[in-house]
Amino acid sequence: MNLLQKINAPADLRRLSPEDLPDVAGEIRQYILETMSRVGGHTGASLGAVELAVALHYAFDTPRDRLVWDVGHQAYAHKILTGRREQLPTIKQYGGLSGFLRRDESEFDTFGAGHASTSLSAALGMAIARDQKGEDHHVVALIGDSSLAGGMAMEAVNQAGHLKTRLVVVLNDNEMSIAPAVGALTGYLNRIREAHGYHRFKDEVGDLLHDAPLFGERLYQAAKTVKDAIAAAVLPGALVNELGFKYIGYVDGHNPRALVRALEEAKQIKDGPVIVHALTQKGKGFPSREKNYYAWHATGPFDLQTGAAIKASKPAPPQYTAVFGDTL
Amino acid sequence: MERDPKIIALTAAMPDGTGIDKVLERYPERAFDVGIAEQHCVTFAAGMSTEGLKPVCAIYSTFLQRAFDQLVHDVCLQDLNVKFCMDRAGIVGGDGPTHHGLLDIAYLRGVPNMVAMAPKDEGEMRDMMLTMLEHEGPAAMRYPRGSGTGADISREPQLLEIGKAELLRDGGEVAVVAYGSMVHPALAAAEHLAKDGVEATVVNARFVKPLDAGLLLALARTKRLIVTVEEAYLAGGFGSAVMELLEENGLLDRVRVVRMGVPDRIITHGDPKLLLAKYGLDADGIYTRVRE
Repeated sequence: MNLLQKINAPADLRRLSPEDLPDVAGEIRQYILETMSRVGGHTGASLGAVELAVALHYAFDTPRDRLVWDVGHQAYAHKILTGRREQLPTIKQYGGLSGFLRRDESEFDTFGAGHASTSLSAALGMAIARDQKGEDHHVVALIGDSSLAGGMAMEAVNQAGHLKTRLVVVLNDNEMSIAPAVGALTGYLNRIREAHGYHRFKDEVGDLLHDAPLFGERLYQAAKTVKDAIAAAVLPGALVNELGFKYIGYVDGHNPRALVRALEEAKQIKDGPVIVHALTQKGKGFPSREKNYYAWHATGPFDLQTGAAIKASKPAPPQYTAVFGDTL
Repeated sequence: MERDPKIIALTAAMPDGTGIDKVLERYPERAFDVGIAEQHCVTFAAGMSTEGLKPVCAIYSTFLQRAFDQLVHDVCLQDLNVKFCMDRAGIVGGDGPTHHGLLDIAYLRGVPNMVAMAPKDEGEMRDMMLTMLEHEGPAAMRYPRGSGTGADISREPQLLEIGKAELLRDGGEVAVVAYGSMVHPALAAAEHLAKDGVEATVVNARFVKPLDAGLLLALARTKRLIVTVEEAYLAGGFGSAVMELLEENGLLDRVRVVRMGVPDRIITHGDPKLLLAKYGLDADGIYTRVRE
């Protein structure tokens, strides 16, 4: 934990160079895994959002810029970066850190959460308050694909497109709720993934060009224009575009530098809401990730090598949930 | 579901958490995961029930809060045959304030047409499942997170009479009337009291709506003290329902009533045993309260 030891607030993170961000993310992931293997917690969701947390706190001036997390159980990296690193082992225990977000726990927790699909409404409220007070900070909401399909999030999308205030929505698209995501919106997001697969190489070309000296930026912009044109042509239904959102994506949600670039781009959009579409893997880095998605959504203690749960030694009667399912 | 092809199982993105995963596997055409969409889930169920199906919504107590108007406007106002099985009712532990299921008694019992119940253990839960499904109209059952008590789950489920409590122990001047998860702790408290030479009646209330008025009014006329116990907020809860019944029958000054439950504050996260003990909601706490 060479880098992480020195990060006691996001301002410390922002003093690092972009080249350091993958290492910071790696250290955070390792720390979450080691801690959760001992005390248990919402391991899977938080492992999927490590780079997102790093990039968001790097690109935005938190807590001046308001960061709103949907649900909040994926925010362990956010907690680690915002002065709560040492307390992580107390998470979910009496007197310890909350497993979700609480306004009374940190000024970086701008809105309490626990249930899904509330972040866009809360963030839109904060954005309107900002406008009315004549302030100019950013408001960013981070929401998962399954939470975006929740009714309230859809209601917020509808109004955000209409109000045209500045709002950054980062879509953490992992094709999962606790279970695999279901529904037509999931199908729509899958089609976006597929459409992008078709010209994914253009992203990579874009990245290369962007890093090249001299003409890099201009060539990158040219490549971007081509890419946007293809995206607009290919995206079926164009849900976000038609509802008044700008769309940036997709971005590899486990590449902090690419994420920071996308977020910097999003910050430039002044005339309405923008969605940054990040593709992530829930449980990224969890040993034996593929086996059982329920097993690593919320875990008890587990073996760091195999990911196998460490069972309590005392046998207990069957759980109510199991009796209910079997009886039904 | 094997016995009755009209039964449909529904979950809002919690197949594993609610036990509906097994049903989805076995009856893929008769079980639905609707996504994180509790409001839609309830009205979707209401629509099915208008066509004669029997939808069972397996939604955690805390998440059913999100679908309250659907439960009122779409189910109960039309007296539709939708069943609510509320897992994680009570103190849930590490997930804390956003996930404790402490309000369902209060938000359900004011809604006309609703039948609301809670089993004392996992054996009685099976009885209540049968009872709900045989009942025509909205019905809800709450049960806690975690392990059962080790009750017999191999016997055939029994049909229970709606609104009928179970007298588990009779005697003395004190009656402990417990709801759901608090019944076994109440029994243990009564055993402890008996060792001290204090006899106590213990009632498994089973239903908060409708209440067993006959039994409760008889207790009010014959006992000195009624202690109600529930794993939920006191405001609008089971104990409140009992007091309302006594008030309606002019018996409030006949008998002293002590309500045990969760006070009017945000309950933090932590080990459920520890949190329950903090509010006296275990055998020791009930024992101590009765002694006082």
